[in-house]
Amino acid sequence: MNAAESGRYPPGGAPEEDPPLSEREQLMMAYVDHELAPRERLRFEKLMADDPGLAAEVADYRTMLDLSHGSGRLEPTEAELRRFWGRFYNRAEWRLGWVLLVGGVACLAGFGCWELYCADFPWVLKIGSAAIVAGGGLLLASTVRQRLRTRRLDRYRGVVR
Amino acid sequence: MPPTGSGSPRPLSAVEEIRLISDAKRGHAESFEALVDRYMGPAIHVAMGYTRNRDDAVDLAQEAFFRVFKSLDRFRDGEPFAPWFFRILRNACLSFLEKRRRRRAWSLSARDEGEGDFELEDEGMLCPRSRAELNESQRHFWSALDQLSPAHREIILLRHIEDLEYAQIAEILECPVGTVMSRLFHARRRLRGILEPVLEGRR
Repeated sequence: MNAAESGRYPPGGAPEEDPPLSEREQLMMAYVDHELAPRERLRFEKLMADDPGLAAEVADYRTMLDLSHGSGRLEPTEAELRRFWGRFYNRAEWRLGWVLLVGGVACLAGFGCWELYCADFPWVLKIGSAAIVAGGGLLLASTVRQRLRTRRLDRYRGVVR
Repeated sequence: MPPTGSGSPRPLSAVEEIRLISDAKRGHAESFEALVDRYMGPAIHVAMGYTRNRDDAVDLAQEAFFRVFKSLDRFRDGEPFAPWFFRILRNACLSFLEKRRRRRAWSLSARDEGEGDFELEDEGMLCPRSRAELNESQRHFWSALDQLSPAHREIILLRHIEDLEYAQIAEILECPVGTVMSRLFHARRRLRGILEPVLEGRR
């Protein structure tokens, strides 16, 4: 299986067709990452002794490993942990609650509109009521949509007060 | 990147981790919270590699832990936790990126029609609060990581930062070990080229 056949990839990060490695390159990667058996490790160290260029490349990769290990980890801040746990265990209930609420409101609004349409009211009253319901729904949807779009840009989101 | 407040949790031994998972499966909230404590930092780190935005990374870490919480009973006892967890996290990140791509495409078409929109903040791998705490060479390393393709950045993060073995990375990426080695090799070659001035000074 080549890279293109395997798994999902990040958008824009479609698998470059990385050419397959030679045996020497495979040995080098496994040596750098301590994944070689002792006998193969000795074999590769002999190769390095004969080829200073190869040894220099291995040394560079080890330096890169040191740089990345020395950079520590991205640990969460207190505020992030509070945000994380503050809505963790009730997440499922919130999702279900919103679905039920929106579904219920949609059912009632639909039923109300149908009843209004069938009722023996003057047309002005029907049109006025429908406009109020539609306008309220539109304003609510627009506010929620705007809030969802801008919430990630909230500068004070992670601030502890 | 450096700790930013809560301090690094103590690493867990394999035995401790198995015990925690087993207790969490039986409903012990404290054991599950200890697992979160252990993997929260790495999860943010890896998610940052995909989203390049810290708030999104924290949200995705939460999403991944939530999926773990819901499906813990399907986790086989004795299996290593890290590959399973990072595969869940990766899937959450890829779904998020796909949604974000669609949203951006939609908002671009809306803008063409005269409706404005906000661009999401792209902090890169180095958010400002971490930048100040790194030395020059480390900053170069993280900036160089930013210049890699997502597929290459992903494999460098899993190997260099999370210290996962080839077999575990292969499990997460759902590809053969040979593909892992090949992608890692080409990612490192590219990184080496970008970091040449830093490496030169260390030879």
